[in-house]
Amino acid sequence: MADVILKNITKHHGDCRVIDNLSLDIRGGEFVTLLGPSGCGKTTLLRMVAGLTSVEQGELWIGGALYNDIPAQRRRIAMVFQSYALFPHMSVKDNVLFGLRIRKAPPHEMFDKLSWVMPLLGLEGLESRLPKEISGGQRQRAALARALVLDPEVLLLDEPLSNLDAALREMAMEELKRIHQQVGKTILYVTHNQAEAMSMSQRIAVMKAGRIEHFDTPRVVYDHPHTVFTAQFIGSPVINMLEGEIERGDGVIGAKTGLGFFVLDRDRGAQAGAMIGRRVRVGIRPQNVLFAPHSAARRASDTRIEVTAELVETLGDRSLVIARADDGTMIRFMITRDESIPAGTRVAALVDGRRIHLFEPATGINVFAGDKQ
Amino acid sequence: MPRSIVQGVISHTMKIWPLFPAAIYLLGFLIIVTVYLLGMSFTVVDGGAVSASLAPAARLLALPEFRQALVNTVMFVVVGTPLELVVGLWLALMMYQSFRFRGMMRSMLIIPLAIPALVTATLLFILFDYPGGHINHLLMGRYWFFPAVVDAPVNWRGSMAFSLGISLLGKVWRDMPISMLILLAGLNAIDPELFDAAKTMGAGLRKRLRHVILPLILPSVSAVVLLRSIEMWKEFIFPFVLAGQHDLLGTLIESLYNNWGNSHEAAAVALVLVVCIIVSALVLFRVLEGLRRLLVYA
Amino acid sequence: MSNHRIRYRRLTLYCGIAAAFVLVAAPLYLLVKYSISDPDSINTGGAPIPLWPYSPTLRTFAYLFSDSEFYGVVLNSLCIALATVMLSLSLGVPASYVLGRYRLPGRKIFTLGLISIRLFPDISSVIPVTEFFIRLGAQNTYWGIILAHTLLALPYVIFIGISAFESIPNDLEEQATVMGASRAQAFVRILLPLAGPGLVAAAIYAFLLSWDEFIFAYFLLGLGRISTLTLYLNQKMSFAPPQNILATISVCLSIPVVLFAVLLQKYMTAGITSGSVK
Ligand SMILES: Nc1ncnc2c1ncn2[C@@H]1O[C@H](COP(=O)(O)OP(=O)(O)OP(=O)(O)O)[C@@H](O)[C@H]1O
Ligand SMILES: [Mg+2]
Repeated sequence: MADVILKNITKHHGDCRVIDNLSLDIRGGEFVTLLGPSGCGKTTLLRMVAGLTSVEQGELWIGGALYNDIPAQRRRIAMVFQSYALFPHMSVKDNVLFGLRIRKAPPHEMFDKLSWVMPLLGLEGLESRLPKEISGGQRQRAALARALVLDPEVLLLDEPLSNLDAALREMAMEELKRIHQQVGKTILYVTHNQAEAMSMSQRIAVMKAGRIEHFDTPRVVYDHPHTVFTAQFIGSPVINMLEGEIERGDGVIGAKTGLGFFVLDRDRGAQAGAMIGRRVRVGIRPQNVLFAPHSAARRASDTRIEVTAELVETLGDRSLVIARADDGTMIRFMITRDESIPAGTRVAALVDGRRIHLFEPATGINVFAGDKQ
Repeated sequence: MPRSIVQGVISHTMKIWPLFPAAIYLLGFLIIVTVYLLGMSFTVVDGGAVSASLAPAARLLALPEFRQALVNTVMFVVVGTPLELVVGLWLALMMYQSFRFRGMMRSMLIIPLAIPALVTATLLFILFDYPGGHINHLLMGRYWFFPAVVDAPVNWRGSMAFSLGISLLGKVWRDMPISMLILLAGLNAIDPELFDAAKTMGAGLRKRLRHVILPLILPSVSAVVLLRSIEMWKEFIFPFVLAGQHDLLGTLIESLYNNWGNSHEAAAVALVLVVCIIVSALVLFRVLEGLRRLLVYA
Repeated sequence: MSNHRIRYRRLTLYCGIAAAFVLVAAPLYLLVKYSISDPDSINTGGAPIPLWPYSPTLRTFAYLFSDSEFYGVVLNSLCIALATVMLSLSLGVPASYVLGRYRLPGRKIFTLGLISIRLFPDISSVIPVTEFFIRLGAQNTYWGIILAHTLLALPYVIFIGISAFESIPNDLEEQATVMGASRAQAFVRILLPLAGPGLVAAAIYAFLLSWDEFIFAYFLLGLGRISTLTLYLNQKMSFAPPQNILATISVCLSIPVVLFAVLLQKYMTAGITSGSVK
């Protein structure tokens, strides 16, 4: 259960700066997810922790020791690769035991490890199969088993579920969570699937272009996104972004947009008191726009908006409505399967001002970033 | 029922007729070559009358040149095949890494294959001349950059070991690119993440070579060994040019046919050569399969 | 510390590459050197043979190009090689199309049967072929040597062709048929262009094979009136002429082939490796 600390790490591939002065502080035993778009440097970061890629600048500390110059063979770090990288010429059992054989572990230890890990991952009966003779999900578990038997200090997982179908992925996610609880290893997990990240990790590091945009618990990352990028990357459907301005109105402070005036909660309102007149980008999650055909009871923080529905997309049990306000501002929100809106009709909805997010237009940083993190 | 079979045959024939010209050509020659080889090896012509006989085979066995050529050829194969493998592995492992000018180096390494064997043999003929010649002058220390190794010029083509050795040298030089390309293709087919995975599991360079690289390129190695050993048996041009008086089976066929006018004995040697190739390929195949088992399951 | 090891490894790599470079380049250099040597640089009268000719000259080339026999020989080689390419492609491409596109039962065995003629060493099969051609009256004729070279090249053409056709997804041909193309049209419009690189490789292979070929030429044409470049070189060698003439003929024999190989090495490589990986 070693902690992993990255201090101001930079890495180039040719002229391209792949990791840009990145710092990250992972506690021992923590399940951390690296989440980001394709090509943002997730794999590169993982490979640096594993020792497969050199650290150019900055420091990498694992379990209290500086690891920059320690070769991969001598780190007690296991990695599950995106492609699993199972040795094609070895049986499942030989793959799992490979690391132990390399370390010349005594036979009884190998036996113990094998009889612990095979049932844990449901691989009994597959011992003598070759990797090409087992299914995708089984391959993934074999790769995981191969990593776990080495009793690593840190477990690195590079998109291990990306090749699985939806049902299998869900099962594998639960299994991974369970395994984490059982073995309690520090896990660094890479994905660009936000559902995986939200449901499995204790903390999420949102990455963009070689930098960490936001590093916190799934709740905080979702509820208090640090940047526009994080707000847009986390949450589905994608958050609405509107142009607006901080204003004082009627004794309360809020954001004025083309859709109307949204009242901030008291905490943020107090802070915003010093920012009257500032232009902001206003983020409203589609989930926080409540369809209210009969103009249901209003809380003090609710704002009623009127828009024209242009398009309705069915998403299974809910539908996404894409609507336009009179001044042309677009907004998207959700309705349940029982409600229905014919395209072209005028509808009313309520927006809860406590759930809106305000960002600096130029930098994209949350204007209230000071209080959180 | 029969009608549909007839129809099936017809429609199949319609589909595969483009195959026929080539098939007739190749299979026809295959039959001609086999029939002639067997026929000539086991018959004698006596004043226009052809009769079955073991005389060519018997005369061959009594011929000291034949025995010597057989021994020489076996030596040629036994020394040459591993040599080609080692040179090919060396080049392939180098070309597998990335360095500047790799593309140019690759083009360069293909050239020996492009040069006609006869040209390479001619060049060696010139270089290993006696008593002059570059190699003799080099070994006698006539150039500032090389120490003297021998006192007197060596008559390369006069000695059996040397003349066959030079032939082997030429053969290996010319065929290097083939071995290299096959092995390189084998290396490139290995997912590099396998090496990374082995690294994270604690395997150093030597362990990775032994447990990952070697078992995975073994099919390519087998291909090289098998193909190259066959080529070694077949070799003709280099010894023909460079080892005139010291025969391999190939050159013995030529001299029996052209110089001695014994076409039936020549055919018998040709048949022996074919049998040698088949037997050696089968044996090697077995050995390589065993080796693979050993490497993969040990 | 690990930096040290990496640098050491780099160094050995570069030394190895340098060694390989010399191994390939030195013989080539010496060949070219001999071809431009003046007589004094060859018959040195006891002094070490110079690494660079005393007075480099193109006189040997001039001599060779003024020899009408040489022109005839080059023309012969070229014609025989081109005819071999045409014949082996026109026989081999349709055959490899059938073997590569249709999952016919027993097709593996049949393919093996077709290319098994190559299991015979040239020096073994040349005896029966020569005897047969003597009986046919094909010795010392163009068509005899072209047929023989085609025999050598055709199995390669078929082999390379099969893998070229196999690699084309079935959908494409079906798509063309769905859009109304006949089988012949689909073949010409879709398959041939896609199989192009592989077929080019096969053609080059056939050309080089014929251009370099010595054994069959030696047995079938012998000292007759038709001669090829390889025969010409061999014939000169047996008269022990000055080494610069041998080298010059060698250079002329090699230049087109080396150019071919370097320019089209991608195809060459494909041809070589496709045969062995399976
Ligand atoms: N060996 C390399 N040489 C050059 N550039 C590289 C190399 N490896 C990665 N890159 C570049 O570095 C950037 C980050 O790559 P990385 O593999 O870390 O992305 P990633 O976040 O894992 O993406 P994905 O989600 O698609 O796997 C990319 O822009 C990529 O093009
Ligand atoms: Mg990646």
